[in-house]
Amino acid sequence: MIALVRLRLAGFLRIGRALAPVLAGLLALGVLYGGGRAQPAEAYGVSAVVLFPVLAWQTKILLDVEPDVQRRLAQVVLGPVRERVAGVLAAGVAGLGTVAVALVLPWLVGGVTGPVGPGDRSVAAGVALGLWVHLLALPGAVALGALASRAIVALTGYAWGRRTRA
Amino acid sequence: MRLEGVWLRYHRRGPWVLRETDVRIGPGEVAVVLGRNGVGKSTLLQLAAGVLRPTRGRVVDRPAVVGWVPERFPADQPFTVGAYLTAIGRVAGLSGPAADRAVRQWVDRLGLTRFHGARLPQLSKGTAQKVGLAQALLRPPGLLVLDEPWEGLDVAARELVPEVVDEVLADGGTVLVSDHRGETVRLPGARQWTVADGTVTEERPSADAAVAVVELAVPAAGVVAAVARLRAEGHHVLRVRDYVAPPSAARPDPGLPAGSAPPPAARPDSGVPAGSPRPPVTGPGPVPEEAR
Repeated sequence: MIALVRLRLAGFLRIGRALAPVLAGLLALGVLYGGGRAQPAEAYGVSAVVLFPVLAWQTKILLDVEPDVQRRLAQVVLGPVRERVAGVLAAGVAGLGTVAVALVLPWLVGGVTGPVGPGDRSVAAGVALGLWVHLLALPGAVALGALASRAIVALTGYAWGRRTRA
Repeated sequence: MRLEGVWLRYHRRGPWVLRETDVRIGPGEVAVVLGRNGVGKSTLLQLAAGVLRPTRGRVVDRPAVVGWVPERFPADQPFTVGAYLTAIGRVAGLSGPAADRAVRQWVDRLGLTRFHGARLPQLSKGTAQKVGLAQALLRPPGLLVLDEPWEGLDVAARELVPEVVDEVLADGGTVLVSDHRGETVRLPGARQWTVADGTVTEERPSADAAVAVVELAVPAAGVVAAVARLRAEGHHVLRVRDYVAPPSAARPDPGLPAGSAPPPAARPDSGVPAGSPRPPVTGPGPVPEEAR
């Protein structure tokens, strides 16, 4: 199953369409952090909300990039349950990559500062809270993207979409 | 493996593709699925392979390792042939070295060595079909489902499909094949399933397998060796005769006076004693044989 996760991630990363959600995410984050300096915890909280649709979109693209027949081939080899779990895991790993970018980016563009006033949390605590809130958003976003992917939307039989049946 | 009372349709309000289908096939048996275009051959094969689930009814005792060769291999994926096959080998549970060995074996056997580093979208249809065949065979399959496997394959690979089928059968596996080009005569002793009107009917092969006569032209100098080779392969050589061009194409050859054809090499079983009168050879041509 791990091999299928790696295969799907590789297929996703080699496709130009993988860039679209990344660019959208960078754009949204740029707008978010362009306004001035904030505390990490608050900033990351808003960033998680902004990233939720980006992560869902990225998941849908990752799951849709694979041709239908290839997905069925994986089903024949691994069984339907493990094949779907592998897809969700691959999307989760890709989402973690985006989350990592979102956590590092504000420090690079100067959108967050260390503790300023007496009641502010330390940097480490702020980053930890930020990581936690992104990880809270990730499963929901992956689930939404998976439900919107061609494999599910097609329901019974084969997908109608632009990829014709086997 | 059995399909018991299987009904299938693609959409809730769509037509029933298969109705009340009951078929069974055991280890070491091969079945050929025949039928017109669009009647449901691929559907039946995909049900057997486990790609589709029946709307009603069930599939029982499907073997653990299934190899499915789809009708059209999905070549629009951003991988090279070697990388793709190795990855599929690992997905199938083979360890790294075992996967590499299996991939190398099948790449060599199917004539894909030149394309090992080629990206899948660049391949021609036949080469992509070979990749599809290779991915199903990386692990020895208990059930091999071949959906139009001869489509687009070159001559060497076409000969390979019956060999592969025989190997799978010898290992105790089951094979299902669909084909509409008549290539399935290469699989003697196969059961015939005909799909029509949503039902699958089975015809048992007749006790004496159908026989066809092949007329073969070989150079005159090599006729003895050719006959020996055919006999060694188990063919029944009916007779050997001189090549006579068809009447419409016959034209007098000024450089070859009638009756001056070179004497034939000894033909052991042709039934024609050497030196007996023969019809004049109307042109320098190969000597044909009729072989069963």
